[in-house]
Amino acid sequence: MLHRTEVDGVPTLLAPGSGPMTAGLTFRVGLADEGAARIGITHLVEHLALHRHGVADYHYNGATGSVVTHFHMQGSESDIVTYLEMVCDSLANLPVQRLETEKAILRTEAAGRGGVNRMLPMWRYGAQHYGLVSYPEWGIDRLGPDDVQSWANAWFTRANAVLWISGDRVPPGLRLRLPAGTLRPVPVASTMLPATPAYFTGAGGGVVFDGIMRRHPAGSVFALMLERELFRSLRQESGLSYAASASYDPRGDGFAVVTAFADALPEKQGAVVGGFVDVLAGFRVGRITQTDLDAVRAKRDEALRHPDAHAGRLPGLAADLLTGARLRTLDQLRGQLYAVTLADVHDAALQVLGSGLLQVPPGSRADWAGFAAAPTTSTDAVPGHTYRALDGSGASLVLGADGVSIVEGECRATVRYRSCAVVHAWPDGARQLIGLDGIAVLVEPALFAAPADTTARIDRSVHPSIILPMPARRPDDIPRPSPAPTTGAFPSSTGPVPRTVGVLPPGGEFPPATGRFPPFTGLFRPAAGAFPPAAREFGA
Amino acid sequence: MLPAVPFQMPVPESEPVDLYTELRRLAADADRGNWPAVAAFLGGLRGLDDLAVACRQVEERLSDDVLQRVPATDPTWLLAQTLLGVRTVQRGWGIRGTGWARNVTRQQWAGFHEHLNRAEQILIEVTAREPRQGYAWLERMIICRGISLGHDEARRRYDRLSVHHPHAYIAGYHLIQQLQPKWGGSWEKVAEFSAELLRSAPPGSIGLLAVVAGHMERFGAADNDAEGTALLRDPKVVAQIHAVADVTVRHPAFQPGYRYHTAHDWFAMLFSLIGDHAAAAPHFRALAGRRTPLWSEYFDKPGTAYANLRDRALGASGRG
Repeated sequence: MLHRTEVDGVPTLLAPGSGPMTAGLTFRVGLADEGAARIGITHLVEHLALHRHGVADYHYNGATGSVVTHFHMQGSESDIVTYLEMVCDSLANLPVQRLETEKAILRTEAAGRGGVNRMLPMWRYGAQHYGLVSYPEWGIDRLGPDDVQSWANAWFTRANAVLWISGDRVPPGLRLRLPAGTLRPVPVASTMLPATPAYFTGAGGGVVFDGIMRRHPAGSVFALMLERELFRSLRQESGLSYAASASYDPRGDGFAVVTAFADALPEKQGAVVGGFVDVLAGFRVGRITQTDLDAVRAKRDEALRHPDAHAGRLPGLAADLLTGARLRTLDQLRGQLYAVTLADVHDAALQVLGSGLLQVPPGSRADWAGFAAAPTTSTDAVPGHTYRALDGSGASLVLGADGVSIVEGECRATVRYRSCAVVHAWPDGARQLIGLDGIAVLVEPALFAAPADTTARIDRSVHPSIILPMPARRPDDIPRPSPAPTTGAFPSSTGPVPRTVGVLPPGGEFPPATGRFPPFTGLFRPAAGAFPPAAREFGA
Repeated sequence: MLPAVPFQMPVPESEPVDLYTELRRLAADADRGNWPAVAAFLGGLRGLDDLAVACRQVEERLSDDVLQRVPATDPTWLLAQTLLGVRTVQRGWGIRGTGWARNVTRQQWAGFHEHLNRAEQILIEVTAREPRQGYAWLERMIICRGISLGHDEARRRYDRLSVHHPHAYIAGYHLIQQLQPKWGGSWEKVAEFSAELLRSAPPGSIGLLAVVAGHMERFGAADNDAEGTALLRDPKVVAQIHAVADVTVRHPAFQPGYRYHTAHDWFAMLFSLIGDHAAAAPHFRALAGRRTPLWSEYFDKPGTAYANLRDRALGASGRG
């Protein structure tokens, strides 16, 4: 039922579908490949590539994920030929005159981005590879025509693409004119969590959890059982939550992420944390029954027997092919599903829970349940010259040859130049450095008796490509030293809030601060199954 | 606090081991580290309230070593782990001390939290393996208060306990503790929970005693005895105390088990404090000269207060 062929050197997957033909072109590129200073570049290329196809009667779209980008459309064979050829031709020659308009569209779209699990990647991976999905598309402002075209030339290539078609043949006459290129490996994941399971305090509204396991059919079964148990326990039994969901999503590197979420009424947040922890504990101790396994297996089997199951798996299979995973037929998948034992599910649960990261609502903790507090500050400061805050708050700015630190009491935030992911640069001299570990340091030279060349020294010490110029701040938004200490550079994640210098919401795009902080607010939108489009990239 | 009458012979308090022969034997088994005997006795108790009383007699007598030696494959492992959790909590409170929070040092807080967190993790595992383990849920309610996890979480733990042990007095008692102003609640919340118990618990249920415990707590929290007594003498409060007595100590279905003396202590105290010594009399008679440590929660000189109020209730001739 799954056929493989090739079109102009692009590996092609064919599977029958019951409805109109759907076809897509999937590339091995996504947010995880971009780097913190270029976040949004793939999405921008995707938009530009689709621009010429601005005809309303077609069902077409594009989607930029963490490690793959899809272009797909539904229609007649000739519509599909026109669409895919247009995409390829646009990628080769992006309509860069549209650049500023598409940037504006992306900024508008940004308001709707993100699911409930938006912040977990930043806490797990920092401001790099798989963590970049947590950040705003702040890279797009600086991008010029050459930047986007060279990104397209490097990644949107014949060797880095898979064509997939729900149908029994390749539409006649289809040509995919793409540059040769190479198949690009997925980024190597590295964690910023010194100990797991870990937790952090996030936005209110519910509890979010994720954990990592080796890719295995038991993972999707575990996710379904977890969802079922969260729903049974938190909604049906205790009435604490309305929505409860879980999903299993391969990451592209042989591992997969199991994500779970339960919402909570404001007055029930503590109980939802407690109930959630107890549900996880039930899986940890292996309190799972064959009846539950059989129930979710039947549900999964039903989905796999759906007449459109073959076609529906195509984008995921394309992602599998691009990331070197073995392709499995539906029959093989169903065979694997029925081979999953309770022991397999327990093993999956132990992997996921052991590597788990839990986001709890404000005012909650999870140390009592054995979750280590995820780091909100750095372990040390750089050696260098120390400059005290002029407002008497007790905070210090340390400027060293290797990097910068803000120190206040026992709290330190450090970014070393060699591991700096991005620098936000304001015309008035303020700089916010964000390290690959996700820790941020806000340098407001005016608030410290720092030398006049501080800004220039920082700018000289990092690669120019990671400096992102920011719009000028209103004079009122530029902090000045005052006799009374200001508050709030170190955010409160867990434990007491230290007081320090450096509050300034410049233009309000995101609240620059020091330490680890959610780079923007208002993205917690609890809804049933509200995971971001970045998920669901893979077949299994 | 109530003035003691001079020359009154104070009545000493009685622990459950003083009142029940089988608990005395249980304590002796625990002293000898005879876990199989202790576990067999505890396993044979029918209600959570009896189990809680019995467990309290052995927790300090058993050693961690005895409990840790119980293999995970043994059917009594969950109970052993539960008692280990309880002992860990008690050690945490030993580090903190029972004084005001403001007098606790940073180091004491750290040790306290470390112990309570460790106990909680032991008990999370117990309740995950066996959600019917009511005594573990009870201790998790107590930990919830110690590490300030909030009222909604305390209520969730109470609800989890109640699924398998409905209307346990000791669970209601601890929830009433949590709902008081001293733990971030209010007397309105206590009253709401009491009303809920009165609506839901069947007549004869031991759990209804938590309602009268709430009234005694209100008395104990008042600035002075006059104010506390005035609150108890509110006609609605008096009516509620009688209503609870009607469905507990005066009810044929009431089976207090090891809470027999506790039940009569509550009513002896309350009826005496509201000045209804005739109503207090049957309870002093039932106590037959015994009292539990409850009295020391509310009276500076509990033994003397007990003797004094008993004599007021029974008169010189009717002393029981």
